[in-house]
Amino acid sequence: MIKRISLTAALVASAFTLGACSELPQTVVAAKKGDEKAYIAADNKYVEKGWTSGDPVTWEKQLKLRSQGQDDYVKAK
Amino acid sequence: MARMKFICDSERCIECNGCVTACKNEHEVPWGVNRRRVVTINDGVIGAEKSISVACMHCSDAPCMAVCPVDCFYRTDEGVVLHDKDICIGCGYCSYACPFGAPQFPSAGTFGLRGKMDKCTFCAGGPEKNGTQAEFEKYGRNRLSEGKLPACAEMCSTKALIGGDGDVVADIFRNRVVKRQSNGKAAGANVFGWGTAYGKPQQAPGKKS
Repeated sequence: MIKRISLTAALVASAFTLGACSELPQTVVAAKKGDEKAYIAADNKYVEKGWTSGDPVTWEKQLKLRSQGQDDYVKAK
Repeated sequence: MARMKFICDSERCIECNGCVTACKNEHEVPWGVNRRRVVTINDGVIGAEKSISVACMHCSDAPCMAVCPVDCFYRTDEGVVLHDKDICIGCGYCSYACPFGAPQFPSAGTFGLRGKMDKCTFCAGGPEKNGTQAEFEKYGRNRLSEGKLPACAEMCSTKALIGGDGDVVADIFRNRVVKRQSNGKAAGANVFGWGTAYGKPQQAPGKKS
């Protein structure tokens, strides 16, 4: 009886001690946040008029129109 | 979908540093960090002095993205290369990889500690909610989501620096080149600064034109 108890105790102890030898997975997963789309209007009072927030078509149109401000030949017409 | 690009016309840049100032002011960039800067070659040589404004070029195959050990970079649908400062560890690998010297590191503090990387965002902010204070504090203004273009390009007095959808930008620049050519000025590769950067094509030895 005493033999059996000591054997069980030895098994439990070895299970615990050998458990420390195991290796935990160490995969690095960067917790990247998803960025909002650029055509979602900024949460401030500086948003230009002439396009609708959430609508990529009107947003692109707005940017293209604004880009023309960089063309002197268009401005000088 | 628009594909955002910058181009700087070396024939027009007058080294005024207006773009640098506009960027610093718009994003409240700290001392020691220059998201944009003007590079001049042949300084003082009459007729040969050329300047261009340089910042992150938002590469299609960005080396900074490739080398980042914590994968903090991402590309938006518009082709703008951005990064997440909450993931960045400030190691500086991106700085070595970037051919334009775009990644900047704030060195504030008594021991000049190197902080998290900072760079041009094409005025597109970062992963925080568009136009919020949290986004502004980490990445600066998000002008794209305000329906505007980058402050540097819009502030350029000679319109040497152009920014926006690549197709539109290319059209504007092409139009200039054609006008210059029709006025008898250098055009084509010369206007792009190819000859300045890589030298004029040399005649093969023994060949006569």
